[in-house]
Amino acid sequence: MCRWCRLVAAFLLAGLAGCATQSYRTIDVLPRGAAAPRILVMPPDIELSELTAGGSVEMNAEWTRAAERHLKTAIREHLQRIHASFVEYRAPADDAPEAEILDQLQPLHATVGQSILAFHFEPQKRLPSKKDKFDWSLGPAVTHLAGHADADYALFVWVRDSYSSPARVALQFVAAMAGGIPVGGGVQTGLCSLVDLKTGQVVWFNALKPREEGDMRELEATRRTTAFLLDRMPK
Amino acid sequence: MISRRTFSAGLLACLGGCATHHESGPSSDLPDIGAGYRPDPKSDEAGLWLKLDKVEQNQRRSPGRIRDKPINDLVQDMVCRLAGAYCPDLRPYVIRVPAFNATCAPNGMISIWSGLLLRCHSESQLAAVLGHEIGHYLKRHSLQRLRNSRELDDFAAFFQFQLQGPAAGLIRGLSQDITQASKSMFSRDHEREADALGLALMADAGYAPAACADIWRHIKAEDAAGGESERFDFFLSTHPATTERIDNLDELARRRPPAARPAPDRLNAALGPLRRSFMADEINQGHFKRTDNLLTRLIGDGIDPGGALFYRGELYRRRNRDGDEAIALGNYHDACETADPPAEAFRGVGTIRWRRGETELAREYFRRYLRVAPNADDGDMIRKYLSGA
Repeated sequence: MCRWCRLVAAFLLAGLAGCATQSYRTIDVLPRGAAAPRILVMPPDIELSELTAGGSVEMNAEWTRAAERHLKTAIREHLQRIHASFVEYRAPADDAPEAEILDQLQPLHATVGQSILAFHFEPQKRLPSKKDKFDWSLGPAVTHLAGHADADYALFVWVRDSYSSPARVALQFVAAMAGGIPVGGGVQTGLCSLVDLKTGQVVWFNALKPREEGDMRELEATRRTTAFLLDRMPK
Repeated sequence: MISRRTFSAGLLACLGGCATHHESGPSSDLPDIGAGYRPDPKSDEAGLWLKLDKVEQNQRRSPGRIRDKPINDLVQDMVCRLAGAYCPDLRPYVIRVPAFNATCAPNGMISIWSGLLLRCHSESQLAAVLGHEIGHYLKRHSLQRLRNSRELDDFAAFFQFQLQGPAAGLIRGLSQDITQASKSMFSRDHEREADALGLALMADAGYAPAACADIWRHIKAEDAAGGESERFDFFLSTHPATTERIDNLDELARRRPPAARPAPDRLNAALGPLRRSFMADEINQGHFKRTDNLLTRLIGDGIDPGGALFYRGELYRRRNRDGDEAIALGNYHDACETADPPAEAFRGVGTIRWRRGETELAREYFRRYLRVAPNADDGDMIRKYLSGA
């Protein structure tokens, strides 16, 4: 009997893990020459906020700073565990000529990532020009990164996470008492891409399905979120 | 994993002392910010600052930032004169945006738009705007507004659950209107406070307080020229009516003792050729009447009349309605006779005269053009006109 239990549990877990993310890749293994391809790890773009009863999202500085550290650590640990060859991005000086381009790549990735999420995963929303192919790119400006760090690919990670304020929690309670009117709590969303630095093409993309779970304020929970995000990343 | 975000878990956390919450405070009667102030990292204010720090990071490296040393040195010096001990906490940036605005973020980032600099006739007028913005910073108005909005929206969220019955929709709509009006009134009070504080700061720093109302008179005139009469809305206007602001600022300026010495006026020298690049941006805006009002005012007040006349000519030439070419030609001619004419004004006269068949007159102006701008990009083409082709 317990054998069956485990099997069912394993299936359930696999199902849950599968549900947690939606991903796409154009390559399974990064093409390699003499050496393993080098991945440039961009600083994670992450913000943690409080969701107020009124529905506003207010950034929380302490949580955001902690989450930046945790996510950086978790990504590094994950890449070491899968033996990927990687180098971490170091921000150029303010007056460096490439500083401005590099600044704009982070929000560009967020925008492209949201577009992939919006238009790729539901067949009826596919853009006419991209019906059968996964063809998303950050454009030629990305090639500046290759020179910046002598890397072949760049890994971008974007996470937004919100947590219900006490007033929001009280509102959820009142709403439940008042007849089960649903009031949502804080939500974790995130996406990441592996980008070919010669062409700008996104070769692998993965996104968390928005979930009221995961606590990026703690390292252990951040490791779990990171494992979801970087799961099956080609290397 | 059990969600720690379900309401029961959250409620427990809340009962346990609201551990998952940033620290907040009152939305009004806050103490003024102190010199060298940094918010407590656990506070809502720190979140607000961090958000703006990220904006500032982008602004610092933005291609839209104007990096010319003289104007940056001047605004930095002005901020220090106006803000005194707070000088190290405030960081001014000059940004190329052709509209009338300046902002001071709660973290001390001041953004001065090029359209504002174009509209300032004197250093005192710029000081009036900077003083106002620094007033917002000192009084922590952004934080107050954040908290006020949160209080109102949170209250409204709870209030709406109590609503039942046929009138619920009506009352819900009404409560939203009241919330909106409260936010706007709160904001208008801040603007009045910043106006008064700004005037005091600039007058104390040796600037002419009458300039505060003057700049709003300019804006009012432009609005009127553009057919936008006062659009004050009790529910939506975040700023008091311009007329009210002018009256209040005039009254406050009258109460100041006369200045011991004339106010410094280094703005025109610091802007130098930048002012003409701002005019070039301005005529691209597509606000013909507003821009015409602005340029006419600059010409009348002798603020780079050569540049203003030339760009007024450009404005009319591009609109190209009946009679516009004649007005453009007149403005180019006037620009040519000023002390510091743009080279392009000569070319402007030349091309219109040529088209009209007044070849000799056109050639005279083309020659003057090449004398002022011998290395002009279109020099070869202009020489063709001269060689009789």
